[in-house]
Amino acid sequence: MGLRLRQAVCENWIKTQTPIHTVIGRLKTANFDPEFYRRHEPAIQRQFAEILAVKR
Amino acid sequence: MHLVIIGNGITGVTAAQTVRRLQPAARITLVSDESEHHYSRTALMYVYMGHLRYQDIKPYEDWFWKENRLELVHGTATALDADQHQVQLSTGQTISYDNLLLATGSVSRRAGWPGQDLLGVQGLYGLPDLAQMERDTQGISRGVVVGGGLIGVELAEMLHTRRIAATVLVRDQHYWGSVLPPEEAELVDKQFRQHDVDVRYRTELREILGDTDGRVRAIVTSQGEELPCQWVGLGIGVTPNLSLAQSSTVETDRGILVNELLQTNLPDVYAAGDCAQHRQPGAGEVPIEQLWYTGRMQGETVAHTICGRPTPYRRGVWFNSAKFFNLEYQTYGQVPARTPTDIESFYWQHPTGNCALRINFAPTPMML
Ligand SMILES: Cc1cc2nc3c(=O)[nH]c(=O)nc-3n(C[C@H](O)[C@H](O)[C@H](O)COP(=O)(O)OP(=O)(O)OC[C@H]3O[C@@H](n4cnc5c(N)ncnc54)[C@H](O)[C@@H]3O)c2cc1C
Repeated sequence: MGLRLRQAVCENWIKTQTPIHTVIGRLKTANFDPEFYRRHEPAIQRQFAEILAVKR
Repeated sequence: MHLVIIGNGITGVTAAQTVRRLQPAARITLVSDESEHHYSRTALMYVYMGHLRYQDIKPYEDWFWKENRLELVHGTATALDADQHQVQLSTGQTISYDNLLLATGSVSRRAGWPGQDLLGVQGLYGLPDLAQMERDTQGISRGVVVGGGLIGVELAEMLHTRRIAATVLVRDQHYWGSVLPPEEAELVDKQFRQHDVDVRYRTELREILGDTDGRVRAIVTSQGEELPCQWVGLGIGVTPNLSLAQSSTVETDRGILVNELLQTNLPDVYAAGDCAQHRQPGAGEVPIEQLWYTGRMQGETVAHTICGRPTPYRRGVWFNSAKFFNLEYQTYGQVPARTPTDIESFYWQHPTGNCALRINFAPTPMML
């Protein structure tokens, strides 16, 4: 929502059943707006790490 | 080879261009009743909103067709005789084909509500609808939109740009309940609020009331509330246009039934795009695809088969996109409204609520 991701990158991740860690770590390769990821990627990665910590 | 295509939407036009490329000598005739030349249906709303003119939503200049030897016939195909390999037109003309592609698209769905034929009640599918909306929303103060899907939000946005107060009736408890998870629907709801659209969830249309001139004056909701309005937009979805198919022995269900080569039960008759129903859709795929890009893919695929290179239709990874007022939406793969119990869902939302990212994955091993 409110983001534009590259179709080829997303399709490839889905087709090759990419590990979720890899996807979260490489989100900026899918995004059209590098500025967005520079500002928000840390927050996204932090939230992902927190969820993993709770699950363990 | 003479290929006759019924319908000049994205499906028919893509098929025509692909056949021209694969078989330069082929004779190709495009029959369509809606417009003389192909236009982008997905951009209809922008014409009403004044962002684009009709000529801006025609992707090709008018000389393109002649230059590519694509013969255009502006008329309705009224009957199909598969034994004679002939199509009857409303103009009185009969055309013979070697191959026939039915790319007749969809029609707006109507639910049989009392009052649905009153003046000022309509769907939004094509140019006649656009003209009708232009005429019937002149100078009005309130419109009611029925349907919490993609057309519903477009209709609300169209009214908003003309400063016409809009109420949207949504059957589910949140917007696009069959597709969007609640968090994403909440972001769309925020767009509605920011644009002063009054949305009534868990609310359906019971009845439309008319005045003595046969024009809509109010609607009654499933809760029994009467809402005064001068226009009603029906956005409850579309269904395959079968009017030509039903004049023949082509097999239909909800759509025109096709195999994976997009062949119907009749020899040399194919169907593709919105009007086609796949007899055996792939796992997790729907039998009727009502999308712009799948129309283009089906048109391209069927052209190969028609040119003697049999090519099964494979959609590949699901993709869709839309826009809700200022909020863009894209989805890849399967991200259903309710996350299945064996799937994990990672959801991040920006504090402003203007963007969000959801990734569904398998928990063990953790992958898409
Ligand atoms: C308002 C609106 C917005 C949309 N937005 C999006 C979007 O954002 N993204 C997306 O993916 N999809 C969107 N869609 C859906 C998309 O436009 C359709 O899936 C696509 O246009 C279907 O193309 P088609 O060529 O199969 O059919 P159509 O475009 O419907 O073309 C079929 C044509 O054939 C004509 N025809 C039918 N029967 C006959 C006959 N017997 N004789 C002569 N002519 C005939 C019809 O009049 C029509 O012009 C939208 C649809 C609408 C209505």
